Amino acid sequence: MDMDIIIPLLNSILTGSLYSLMALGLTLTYSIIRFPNFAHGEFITIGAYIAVLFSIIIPLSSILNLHPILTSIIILIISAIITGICAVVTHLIIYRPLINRGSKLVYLMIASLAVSIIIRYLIYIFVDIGRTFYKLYLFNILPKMYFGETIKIAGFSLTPLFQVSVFATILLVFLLQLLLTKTKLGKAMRAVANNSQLAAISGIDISRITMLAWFISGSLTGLAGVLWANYVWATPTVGQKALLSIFAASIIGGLTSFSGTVIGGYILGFSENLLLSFLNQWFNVSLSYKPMVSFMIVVIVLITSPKGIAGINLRKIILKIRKR
Amino acid sequence: MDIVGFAISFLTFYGIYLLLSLSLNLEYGFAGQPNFGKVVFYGIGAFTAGILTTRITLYLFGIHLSPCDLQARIMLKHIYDENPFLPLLLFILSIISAAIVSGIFGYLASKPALRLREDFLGITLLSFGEIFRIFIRTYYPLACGPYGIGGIPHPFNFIDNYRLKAALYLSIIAGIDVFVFILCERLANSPYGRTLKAIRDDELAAMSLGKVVHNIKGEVLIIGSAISGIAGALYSHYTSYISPDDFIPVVTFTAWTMVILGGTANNFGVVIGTLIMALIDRATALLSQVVEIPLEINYLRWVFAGILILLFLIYRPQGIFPEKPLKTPALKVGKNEDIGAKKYFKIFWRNKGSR
Repeated sequence: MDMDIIIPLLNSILTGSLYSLMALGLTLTYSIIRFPNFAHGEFITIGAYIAVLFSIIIPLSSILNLHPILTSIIILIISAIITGICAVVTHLIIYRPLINRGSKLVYLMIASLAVSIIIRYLIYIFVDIGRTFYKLYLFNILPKMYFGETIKIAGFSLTPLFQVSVFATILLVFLLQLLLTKTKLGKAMRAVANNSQLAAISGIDISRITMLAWFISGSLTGLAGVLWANYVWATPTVGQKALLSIFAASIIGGLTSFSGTVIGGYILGFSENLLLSFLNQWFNVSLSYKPMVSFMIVVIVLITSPKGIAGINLRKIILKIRKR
Repeated sequence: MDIVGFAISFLTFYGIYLLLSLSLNLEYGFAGQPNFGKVVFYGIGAFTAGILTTRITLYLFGIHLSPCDLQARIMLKHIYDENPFLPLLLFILSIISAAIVSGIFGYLASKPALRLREDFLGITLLSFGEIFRIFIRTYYPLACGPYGIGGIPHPFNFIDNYRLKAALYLSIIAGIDVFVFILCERLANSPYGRTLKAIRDDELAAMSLGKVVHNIKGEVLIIGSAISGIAGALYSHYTSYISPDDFIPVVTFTAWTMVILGGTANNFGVVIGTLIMALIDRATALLSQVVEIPLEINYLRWVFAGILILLFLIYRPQGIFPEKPLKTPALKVGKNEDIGAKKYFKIFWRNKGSR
């Protein structure tokens, strides 16, 4: 019985960390531009395929001749930067003109759907080119990356991917927290998220802050995408499949709260793995219902408390209980 | 090359998609409800038709087999061949039931639509679309899971000439298209249509003028979903086999592309927009047969469609044919003015003298 719990538990922590990273990017763009970016999932795919590009097609390990862990870290950083640039580019050529023309929210949402379809099918074409011209089968592929050895702590065998993901999540969340609370740039970003007109009046360069937010959003998601591809393997639809869970995680945080998003990511990770494996064992629920979990969470949160965790007023609830 | 056959298949495809885009135009263009879950109602219609026709036939002939069995499918084929008019009856039944079931689901979808903001509603409906497909895929007893439902009869099974069969089916689709077009046009140019536009432009103002916004939103989603359900049923009887993977979110995107390309809140524009998208679709399919390209041309088509819609959104968001002022002159307000759909039906059947 114990063995059945450990693997889902570790998987929960792993997926929870990666969901948190991806959802943080979504929360960041939502709180600055105020529209749900349906193309966010494609940043995962871009990150994943850049990792594939630099680990299989143009193997950096044989070019640079460094320690394999160092090479993996370089690949992580490269894909984070490239995905960040992709995010900024989508903002500059698509979303900014739309916003400047005063487009409706629905048009922005459709534009992001269109962007996601364009990116997804461009990656399909990339895969197709690899197949027809270079005889490389890039569909459903694992990037060749080395993150160290499995460590055993108190009977838990922690895979290298697990170590890297959890470590990267803690580090990046900590850095993002530092950026948002301690630096002037982060404070400006929060000011724009709160009230962009007021921020503009007080002399904050909104377009620069927005671009920075897109870059951070893209790079966080791209980095998580590389690790995600090491977990579920890279396919052109890998981002689309994760998109719902990311939205669910972000919605738990009310789409605007950063701490709520991290909590939401872990809630998603635990309910998709641990909860479902419990249900599978005790109630014989099929494991293929996994994607339904995120939908259930979306619907329940949106109907009960549309502002997410941030909308729950603990003091009110406690007062209510005391009155009884 | 077989031009007539190609034209028939193209027009059938066009007719089915026209229903989708017209209903989306009604929901979004006139009433401002961003339905990002169009594929759900389309899929519900298709699967209602598929499940009902196969199961009813098996039940009527006392065969205790699941329609997923290969044996059952062979038996179904024999039954359809032996009873020439049964498929036609089943077709009528499945069209009606698909409209009803999809309408019910549209009503259910309107419930969150009343509470949520546009963006949250978009997320909910979009995820509803994914979940619908996953549920159909995983829950085997309902629709055979990933294998899909086969053995859905063609309504004109008794005709041997396949060309005539397809042409007759096309004429049915064309008839439904014309009916839906007139319905949408009448709906848009009636007081009900003006109420819809009022709700779209300013919900609060409409409410302050005594319009029951919640009811009207629900009604529009019911009508739109019923139309897309009919489109789904038509599709399933046309292909005679449906699998959950036919109902991917890209269908929703296609319907949106058609509406925005043609022009929101302009039914004629939507007809043209659908035609353009359908032409692009078929032209790329033809191109892949004529020209030897080592790459999969479908992917290029989607990239092209995405870029086209982005260009339209940025440079001409009103579409090729922008929204026009209403044709209807102001009507005399009678006593006991009905609310919502009743009002529409009154307008629909009213004699022309009252103008």
